[in-house]
Amino acid sequence: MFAEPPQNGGYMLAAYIVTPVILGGYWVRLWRRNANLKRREREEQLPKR
Amino acid sequence: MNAIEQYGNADRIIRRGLRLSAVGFLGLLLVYVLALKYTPVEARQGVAQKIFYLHVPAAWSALLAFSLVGLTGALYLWLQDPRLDRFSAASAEVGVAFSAVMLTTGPIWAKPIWGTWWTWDARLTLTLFLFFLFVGYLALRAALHDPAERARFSAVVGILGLLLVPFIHLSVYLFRTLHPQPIVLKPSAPSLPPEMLRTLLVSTLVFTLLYIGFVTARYGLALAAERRELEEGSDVR
Repeated sequence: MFAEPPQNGGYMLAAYIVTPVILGGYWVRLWRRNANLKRREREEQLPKR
Repeated sequence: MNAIEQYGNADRIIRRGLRLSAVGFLGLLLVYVLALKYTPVEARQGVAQKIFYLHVPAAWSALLAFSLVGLTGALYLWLQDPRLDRFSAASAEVGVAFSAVMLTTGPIWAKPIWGTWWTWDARLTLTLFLFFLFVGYLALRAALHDPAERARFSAVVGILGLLLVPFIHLSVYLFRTLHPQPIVLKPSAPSLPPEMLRTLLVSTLVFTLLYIGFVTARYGLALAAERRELEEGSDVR
């Protein structure tokens, strides 16, 4: 007969939280870089009009 | 394609990359459902074994990213095509993000299974060195301002990183190590129950999609930054 599996769900939960935080954080960083680039382009175009 | 057409595509490339990676995040939700509801609990490791469905695909994406940095770096030294350098830079940055996932989920799994967060065994140490090497790669790129010099030097560092990748994969055979041996990428058939193998394959596909989306967006951003530099240059002239 097998013993009960160890109770270590907290570790799994930590890994399942940290993964989207890192990858989602990187996605937000890319999105913000794009938004900043566009904002600067718009600001530079304003005085030319 | 001339420079103006090429740079004009930058916004479209960024949008496509961001959308693709957003789809990848929906795929990650599916992986969570599969891992938590569909795959059985491993008898000896308990639910902590389910960290495997994130750790292994993150390691796959990181090593794929760093291998492609080395390969495109070598191609850049041969062909001198700036698109290859742009791709190398994008892949290195994305590889560092996936390495961060690999290097955090690994110790979170190791603590309940090995009884320690970290051990200086060959696989773990080489992986940490690879991470530092590519952080150095990004620092080098940030420090050099001449585009041709930056591309040449960073291509050499990228190739050095590529040389580490096969050692990392084979380290579990070459050295006495605590790290589990490959259970899918090995000469014999995968040694996993079908539910676990399917979930791992879906997760690997999702992480590959995230890699493609991130690299596409990062490539487009590099293109947009070059367009800006070109416009500023033409303003001065």
